[in-house]
Amino acid sequence: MSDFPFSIPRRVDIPTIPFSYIQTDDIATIAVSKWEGPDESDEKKIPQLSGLLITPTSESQKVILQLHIFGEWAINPYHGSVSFKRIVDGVETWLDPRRTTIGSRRPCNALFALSNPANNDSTPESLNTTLVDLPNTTKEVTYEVYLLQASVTSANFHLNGTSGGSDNTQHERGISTFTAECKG
Amino acid sequence: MSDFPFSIPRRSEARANTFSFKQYDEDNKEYDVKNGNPTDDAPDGKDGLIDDYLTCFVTTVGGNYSGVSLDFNVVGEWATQQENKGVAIARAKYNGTSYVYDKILRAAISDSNTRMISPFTISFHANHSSTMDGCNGKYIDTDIAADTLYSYTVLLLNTSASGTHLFKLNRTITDNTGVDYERGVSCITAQLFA
Repeated sequence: MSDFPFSIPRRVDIPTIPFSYIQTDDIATIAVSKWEGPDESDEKKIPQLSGLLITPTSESQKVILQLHIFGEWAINPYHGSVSFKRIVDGVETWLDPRRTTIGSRRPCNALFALSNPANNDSTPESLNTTLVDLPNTTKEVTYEVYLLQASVTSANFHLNGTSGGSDNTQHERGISTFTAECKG
Repeated sequence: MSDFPFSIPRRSEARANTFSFKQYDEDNKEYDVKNGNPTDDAPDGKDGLIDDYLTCFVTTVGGNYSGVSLDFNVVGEWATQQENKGVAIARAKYNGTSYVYDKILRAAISDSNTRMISPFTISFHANHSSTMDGCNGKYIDTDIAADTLYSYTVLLLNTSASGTHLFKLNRTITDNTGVDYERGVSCITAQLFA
């Protein structure tokens, strides 16, 4: 027996907003070479925060990237920075301003905030940033996070921990998160 | 003219209450925070819980959610050692009568190290009277259940070797009326996602 009129669809699915994330509490040491120029491949990927996938549902959608990093540079934290890279169909695109005319200046998407620049052993930095990307595609997009520094030949960044490994309250542990959300 | 059969509701209500926030702009709160890690079920054990003033609420009732995306911005000034301070988030679950704290969202267990989401930072580290500290961070909480009410509260942490340290929310330590004694606004937001 028909249940007319109730067989007429009475609801539609509310479209979900594409959202993806990576969150890590891995303790890791990442060695970053001095950045010498855009063609030298000195950027060092943070593997724990890279590979974030999202697929926009329309070409006009923006992708809102939000990144929180906890960690400590072993030297000169004021020279450390982060750049994003977008990958679509194997085509890699830096999202920092290197595609503009900045000469030899170091491109970056965000810088680290410090609490005591004189301490590089037990005082973590944090980096918090937002970027609006316009990938102009409905294909799957991959986002990667890279560290850059330009002060010494090689500098270690200690993800989610401090440079010093002591087991006490002053050597903090944290957590890092990278999210992508489509808007518009 | 009737548009029958299309006047029959063809869609459910849009999902409501997927976003929650608490923002506080008063400068009348201060906290004397003891050093060390508080426990999951007693997050105010070190007196760092900014209860009510920076608490937001989330409900998973009526939805199929896989997580909560949390963001926070806390400003104020520590009277000493801002380099040994941070923020975590204390979660509580409604048991039918009240909200009961069940988990602090923070770094994984790591011996005696103080565990947080993010440290406080400052623009001039040598000043502890007229230079506000700030702490921003985010956390994805996927350890949630269906048909449950949760609260999320900003939790201040003191990671110094010992002692109790003063934090004044949304203001500088010194109560001078000069323009270089800033006032700020703090907030926490929660966004459910499917």
